[in-house]
Amino acid sequence: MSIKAIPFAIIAAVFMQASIGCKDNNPGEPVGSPFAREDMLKEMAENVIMPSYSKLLSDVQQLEADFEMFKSSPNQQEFIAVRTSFIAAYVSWQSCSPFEVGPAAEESLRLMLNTFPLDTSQLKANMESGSYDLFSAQNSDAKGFPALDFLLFRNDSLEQFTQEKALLYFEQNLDLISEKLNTVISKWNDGYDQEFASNSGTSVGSSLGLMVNELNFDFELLKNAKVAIPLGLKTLGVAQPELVEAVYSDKSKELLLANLIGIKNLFIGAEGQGIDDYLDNLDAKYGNENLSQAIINRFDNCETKISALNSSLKSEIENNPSAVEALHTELQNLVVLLKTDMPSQLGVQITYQDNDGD
Amino acid sequence: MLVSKLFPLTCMALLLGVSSCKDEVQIREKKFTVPSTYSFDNVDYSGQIARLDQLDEMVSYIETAIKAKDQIESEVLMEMFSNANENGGGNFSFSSSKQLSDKCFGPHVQKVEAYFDQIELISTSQNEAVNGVAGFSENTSGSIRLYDENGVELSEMIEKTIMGAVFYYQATAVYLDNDKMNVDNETVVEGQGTAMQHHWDEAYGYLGVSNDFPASTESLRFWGKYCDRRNDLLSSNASLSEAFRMGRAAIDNKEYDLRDAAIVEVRKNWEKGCVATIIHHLNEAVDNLGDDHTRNHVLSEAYVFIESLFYNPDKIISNNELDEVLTKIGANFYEVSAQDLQSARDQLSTIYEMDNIKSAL
Repeated sequence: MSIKAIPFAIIAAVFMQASIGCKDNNPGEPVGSPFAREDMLKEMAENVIMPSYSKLLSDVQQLEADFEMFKSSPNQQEFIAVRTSFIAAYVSWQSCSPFEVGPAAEESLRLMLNTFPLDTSQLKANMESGSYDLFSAQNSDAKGFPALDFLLFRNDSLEQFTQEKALLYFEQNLDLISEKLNTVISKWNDGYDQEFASNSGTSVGSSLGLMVNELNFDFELLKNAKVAIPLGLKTLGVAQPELVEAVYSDKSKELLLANLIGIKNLFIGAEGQGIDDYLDNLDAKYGNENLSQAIINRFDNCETKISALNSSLKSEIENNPSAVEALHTELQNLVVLLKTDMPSQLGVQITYQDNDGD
Repeated sequence: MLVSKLFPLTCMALLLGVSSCKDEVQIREKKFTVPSTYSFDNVDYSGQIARLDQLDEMVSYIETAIKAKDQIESEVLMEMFSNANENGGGNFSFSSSKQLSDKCFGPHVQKVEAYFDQIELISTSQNEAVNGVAGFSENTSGSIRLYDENGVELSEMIEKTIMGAVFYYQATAVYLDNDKMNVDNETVVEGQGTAMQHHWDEAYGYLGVSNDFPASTESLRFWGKYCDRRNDLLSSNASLSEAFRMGRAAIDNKEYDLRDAAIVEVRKNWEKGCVATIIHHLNEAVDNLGDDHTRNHVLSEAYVFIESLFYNPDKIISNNELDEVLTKIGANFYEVSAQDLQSARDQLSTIYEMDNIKSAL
């Protein structure tokens, strides 16, 4: 963000001038000098969202290519290649997970691609019967990346993976991921990019409003589904390490870190303008420091705590829970700023609610 | 007794109002009229009723089979527990989208399912239940029960574990906890109230009492029934009911300190009702020590209710103490001694300050 500090200051100054004498300011808008929210949104799409989708797409294509290779010569070497490119794609997905707005929301991308924990009995029943609809409600937790994780890593033999039914289920889930992703990307390229940038207010349904909500929603998923629940914080202290993400490949730590960095990257707008710059423009403070800096510091604290974990989150929960608890405390510290301070400074309302439909 | 504890809170709220102006005092006085029954606007806990109905029919399936010494099928219980096809795989007399299994305390789902397998297994034998042999036990008045080789009555373990791991856990640890209480209290959904009101009502729904409780003690179910049975010595009906009504009224008036105080009272009084029930059953076990048929039954209840204490996030007993009490009873109900049972009872009555009523319970 510092790289862009100078051009940003210029833009801000220009707009400050332009706004003098302008009487029809929307009274619902937050105070502070006017800021080109449209430019910020445009840059967020260009510098964060589209590159993340492109990276995921190329990783998924690599996985498809490796899978084709494996089918033609199902040996250990090709099996390892498929596993490796699967992990790469799953890691790339983590940066895309926070952008559940517009096309991704229409396609329910997050639910389709990464609902966990996996319902293994449902998956096995599907695989056995060979007749299933991946879009039906009962299969909502039997597909996507978690299904691929299971098929590739449930044990170390490639024999099970090579069974016809397993290969078919793998391929159909890979197709699902690829189709959904391609749909989302083409919708962005076919006009949603314009719509995203021009929907530049702060009310419910504005691009900033949606983005701030989804950033928070994804962060709470990270905190709860990926950490608090397996750690037992939602079950009176009884740990459930088997509920971590990617439990079969045991890559949950790597995915967690990628998810956190992805959310942070959305906040800072990668190399361009992000929400942090906008907060600075509004002169948003947290105590004596800039709110943006306070948020970045807390992101960094979370990152440090994740990096300090040993490579398996599952085994850390089993054997070294205090390290994971320390991480959870840092995540809690960050959620307060992200969910309360940031939206109120931005004039954005948090509208999502935890609703179990009861 | 709770009446007297919550009363000062009510006064405090009124006093706060006094400092500003007269009108506000009147408004606040009005606000803090807590109704004598659960008569609030937009109360809906049909999802909880559906789950109580589901457990009712599971218990009824098990009891009918035991009475006839028929085989119990694990698969049937599984379908009912997870409500396959919205009517428990055809085993429920009604249709509902609700499940027991998805509301069960996660780490204990497998334990419940293991009970299903175990009860199927022991129901197939036509043995007579004795120490070391699972089977049926029939007393002179024609009561038939099914015990495992240690005298554990699986039907009790299933019913009461679900009461604990679903109803008690959901009410005290889920619906009254931060995640479900720090929610919207502005937007009223017709028939359901605000999200916060609805969550509160859902907790109330798991108690198994009607909205007329405690004025009426008709049609009490599960926890409501046990609460009423200890009412003479504990005034548990009034305490629990008042805590729930106080909390709902506080939410309606956006007085969150009072709501939080009511949460503490709900958890505390529900737990006391559970402990009094345990002590009652331990007393019964001592009184019937030589009668395998009765002792095993009441000890099974005592044991599973002790396990249930765990599900309350504000429980007074520690996990270690909980294990100690269970260890005193031991795993084999044929081999318990009066001394061990009394020791278990006394540990509980000391922790919960019930020494004065422990013999009368």
